[in-house]
Amino acid sequence: MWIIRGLKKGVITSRYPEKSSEEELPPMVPLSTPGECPFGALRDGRLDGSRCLYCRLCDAEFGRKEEMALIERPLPFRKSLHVFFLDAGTCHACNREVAQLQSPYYDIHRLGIFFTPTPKHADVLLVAGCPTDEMIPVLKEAYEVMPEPKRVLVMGSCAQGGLCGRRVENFIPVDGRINGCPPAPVNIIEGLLKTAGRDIQ
Amino acid sequence: MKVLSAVFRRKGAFLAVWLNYETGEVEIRESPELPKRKIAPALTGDTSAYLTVPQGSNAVSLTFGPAAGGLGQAGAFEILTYGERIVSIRPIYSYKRRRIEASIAGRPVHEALIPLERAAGNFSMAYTYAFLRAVEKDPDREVWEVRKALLELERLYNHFNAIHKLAGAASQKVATMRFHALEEDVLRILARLTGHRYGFGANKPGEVNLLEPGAVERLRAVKEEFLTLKDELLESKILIDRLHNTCRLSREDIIELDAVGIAARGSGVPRDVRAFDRFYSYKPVTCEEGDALARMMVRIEEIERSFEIIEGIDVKPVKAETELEEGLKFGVAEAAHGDVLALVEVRDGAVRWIGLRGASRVNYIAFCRGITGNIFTDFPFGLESFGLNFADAALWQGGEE
Repeated sequence: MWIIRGLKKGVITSRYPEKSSEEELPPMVPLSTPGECPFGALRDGRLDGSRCLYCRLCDAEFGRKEEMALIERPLPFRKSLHVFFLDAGTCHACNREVAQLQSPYYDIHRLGIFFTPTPKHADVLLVAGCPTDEMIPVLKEAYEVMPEPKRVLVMGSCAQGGLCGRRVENFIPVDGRINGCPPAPVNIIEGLLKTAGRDIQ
Repeated sequence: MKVLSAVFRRKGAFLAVWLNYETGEVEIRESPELPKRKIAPALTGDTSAYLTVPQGSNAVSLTFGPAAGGLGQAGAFEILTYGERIVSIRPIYSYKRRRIEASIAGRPVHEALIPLERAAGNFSMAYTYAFLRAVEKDPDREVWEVRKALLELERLYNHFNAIHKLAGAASQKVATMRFHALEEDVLRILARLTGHRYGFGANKPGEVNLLEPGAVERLRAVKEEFLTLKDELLESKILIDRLHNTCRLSREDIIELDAVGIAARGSGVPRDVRAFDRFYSYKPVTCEEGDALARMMVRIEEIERSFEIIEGIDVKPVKAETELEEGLKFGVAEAAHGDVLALVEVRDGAVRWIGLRGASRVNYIAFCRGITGNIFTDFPFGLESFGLNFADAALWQGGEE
């Protein structure tokens, strides 16, 4: 009966990156620079999106935004991607968004992206959360045991110093960032595809 | 009966919070010594006392977590085993100690809510509910009705997540995917309603900020789908057999360990903050068996109750003139896994000190009691039936450590 139910439901999977729907995009992203930020996300008079907590306490204009990932060093191949997710000290919302990538709505396997249970098999280390004292050695070790070529992708404000002040890049080299608090699943997909050097258009 | 709900360290002493779940009466006792209850060390973050080595045991110790192994979060368990059976086990909370309270203290109340929401993101509505219950003077009923609706929405997606994980552990592929999709459906409704998938930024002092109140109508379709899936789920003998008798907690265990929430109600102990919350009219759901199946049955019944509660509320943006309390105040809310509480000191409109206690802090100890004597393959069924997380368990408890 489960199979019949599954078939009756039809396909609910996102068409992202071919096409994104309003439902999937983060609804309230700052689109302008505010006058001030109580959480120190302004740098040299400009909004540092990586540190923004998306709290909406400021006077910035807010709306939907498609691209939230910035990749500085993509991988040199455009094939499938194996990802190890490391929680360095999250509030658990990032964990839930990463877990959603394997739900029927996002189904990242359709894009050739797979999670691995160990960093030894990973191309990408996906890190979320503010690195805590006890997770810093774990973070460094996970990076060390990854095979080359390897990339580190940080996701969310906490991993970029937004809430606790500590940044993942203080401890290991970082090759790309996904902004958001937490980043929406489509933005995590965006970051992973760009890390794999794949066109998201 | 009074339950030791929290122990905070403050100014060199212990502040013990005792909560009566029948009357809602709270008592805060200051003492230089830790209260003499089994749960007291865990409430201060020290779980070393819960690992016991049976006499003559040849069991070896192994650590599960904090990065690899399937937990998926920065936390770990120290397990004593001789190969298959779990002889003794304790949770280790320190991997996720983020000192979130330090980010809250010193901020004006409206700003303090921002780091508070990030104490445990998937229970953010419950934390803000508890915090605002503590600091708002003369709360406005209309405002609190809408907050209640958001709290129940949070319960819905967390309960769907727990059932998704239980079905996944039993390799019920279609069921696990359907419940995962239901979780996403509710997150999308929350995003439309509040502008954030986890509701961050909705609860403010004297106000609930909603963008698209009509989005709550979409819950009807979620409810219909849940009702059909529920019937199918309960007919799945594979799932039911795996949950039945797994990670069993007796009523005496719950009372001895001061366990709360789903863990208590699944063992027939009706500890539910909604039973005495002035904005609720609610009778706790309980199940007597105390196993993983009983906890899932409680969740299923509570999902239906949550739909009913939300249907009875006019969900709309609300705002009322509100004054803030001054001094040390207490607030509590029933989150999806159990109650979360906040002890807050406000002076001149700013938070001077805060102590937070999530139900995970307590209920991980209950899980460890229940899973002792079970075998390793029972572990995911036991763990997921509680719906806990380490962010919630590792809150700093506000004070010197």
